[in-house]
Amino acid sequence: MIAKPKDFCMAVLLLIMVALLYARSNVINVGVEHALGPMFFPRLVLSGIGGLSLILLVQSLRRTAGQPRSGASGPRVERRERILQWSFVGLFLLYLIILPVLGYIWTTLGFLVAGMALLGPRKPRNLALYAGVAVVVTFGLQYVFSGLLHLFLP
Amino acid sequence: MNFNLLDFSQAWFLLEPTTLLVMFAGVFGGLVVGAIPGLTSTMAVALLVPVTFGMEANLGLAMLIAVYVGSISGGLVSATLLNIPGTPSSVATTFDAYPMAKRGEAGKALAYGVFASFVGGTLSFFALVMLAPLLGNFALRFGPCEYFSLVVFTLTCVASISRKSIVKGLISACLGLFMSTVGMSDTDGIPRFTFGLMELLSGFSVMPVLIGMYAVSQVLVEIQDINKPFTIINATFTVREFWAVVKSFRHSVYNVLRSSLIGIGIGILPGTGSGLSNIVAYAQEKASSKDPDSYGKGNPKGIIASETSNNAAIGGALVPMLTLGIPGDATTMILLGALMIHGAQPGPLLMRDNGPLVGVIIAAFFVCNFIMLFQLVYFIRGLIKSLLIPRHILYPVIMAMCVVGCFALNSSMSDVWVFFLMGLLGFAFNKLGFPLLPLVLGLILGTMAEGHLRVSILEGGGTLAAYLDRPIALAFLGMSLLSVALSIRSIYKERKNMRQAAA
Repeated sequence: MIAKPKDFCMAVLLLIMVALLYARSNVINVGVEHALGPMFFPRLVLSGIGGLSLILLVQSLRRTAGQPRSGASGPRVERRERILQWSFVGLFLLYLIILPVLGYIWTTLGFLVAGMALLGPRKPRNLALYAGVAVVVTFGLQYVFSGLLHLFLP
Repeated sequence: MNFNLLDFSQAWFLLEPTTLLVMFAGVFGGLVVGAIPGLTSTMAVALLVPVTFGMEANLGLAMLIAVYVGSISGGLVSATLLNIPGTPSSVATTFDAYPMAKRGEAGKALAYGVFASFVGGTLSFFALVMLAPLLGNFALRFGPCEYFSLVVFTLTCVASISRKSIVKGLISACLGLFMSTVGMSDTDGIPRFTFGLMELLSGFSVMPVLIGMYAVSQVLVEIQDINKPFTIINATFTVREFWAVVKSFRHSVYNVLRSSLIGIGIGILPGTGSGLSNIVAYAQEKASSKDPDSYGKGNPKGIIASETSNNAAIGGALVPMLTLGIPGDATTMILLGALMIHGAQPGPLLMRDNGPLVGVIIAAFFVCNFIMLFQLVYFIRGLIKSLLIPRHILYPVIMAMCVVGCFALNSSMSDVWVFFLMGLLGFAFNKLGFPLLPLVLGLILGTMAEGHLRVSILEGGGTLAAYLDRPIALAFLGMSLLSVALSIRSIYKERKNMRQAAA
């Protein structure tokens, strides 16, 4: 019986990752092999992660008194808030994909208005406010980074 | 004591009008961020680091210190008027400041907090000036064994105190150490774990990882509470009332001194800082009082203890960062990342090799305390208004600022992708109960740990024998074991109590 499924899954994932990376460390060309070569430290650390993951795996199988069955660490999140969270992540991902194509100004303006509308109220008055804030922030950041600090923007 | 390592030769630069203006803006920005619930001092400093890329190192670091001081102090406002700590450093402030505000003494509660913050910060400046050269000189004796043991001590210490599971803390630290090995090996010039990606040849850039872990993951966590309504208590804060409160501080000298010492001491410990110090100082003040029942019901001494200790922790956290290159808390870790961007190498030689810059940082901390006091006394009404900024407007703006900042680092979208992925990883870590601090510390200190471990083993003829002749290294390793043992003991004790409670 798995007492803490999240910890169990994480431990298994880590063990798989360690195995894959350890195998990878054997195919990396390091020239002349020696004990203290470039793979010494990564393998040492991987062994540490592997050992600790095994302990986590064992711990995830045992339930301690007073601990919730799921092993969850934070408070329960409502479904509505969870959808909002991941919609925002999706919108942000879209922003990052479009950014190099359309450039900084248009994508940032669009992301800011869409992000504010997603998280907040969507009445015409609010949308006008979002547009105003988006224009100020977008051009303000451009002025600070490009104008004052002479740094490139996407 | 040898004060030669303290170099204030460039500190005059802080009195130039441009620098003062930048620090003034930095403190105010920090106060606003600190006052807004959910936005932490770490996030405030992380967001501002990219702005310093185009600045001189002195000016950039002075601005970041200003933001740091401001954001720790700003938490007081929301703790008093909303009963929500603006930052973790103000958790204990809510216990007495909010009850005072509820009975119509909000201005008085704020005044106590403002002056306590100033006194705590100023006392910790003097501690920093005293302790930094002492520790800096001590660090000059370090060889490869000491460097490596220091990293082990830092990581185990942070892993032990970060969360309830030390195993998760240690896994997090090891993952950070592994991430530091990605890219071209410093010693051998061999590319490792790049999977054919040219972008990974130089390894993970520290700043996108830090900004992703501390800004993105925090925003995602905060979105959960976006629909939670706030009730703000009206506050009337007058300068006359403030001076009346200052006069009454003579009755709290012992409380101020003890809370400052607690803040400085906890700040020095790796991975702790103001988030813990305010709780400990509050508990100590309550325990030593003749009237402990009055705490939590609006006793100003509780506010004094909490606010003195959280600002004192800033100076404490700067001590190991500036002398050993080991950050005292998450915010000083970002500062260390900023130092690296400006060409300084973290480690025990930081103070010797970058004396004038370290001097500017210490002096900036002192000046910023006065700016913070001035702004809190005269501009607190504007700060209270910042509590009204809707969070649904703030979060997209923060994300856009992060993207621009990460891109500006190397004019490359790959840094932006690293930042995004690290944000998701940070969020997942948060959900699964893995602490973030050991991971990022491992990433920052990994290269140093690897190099010195290899050299120390070579010195020992392929064994760890070299460590046996190095008492400082052995002491660090002993303290590492002790921190792990104490952590395991406290976990078992807690479980035993839970079992007894359940029975």
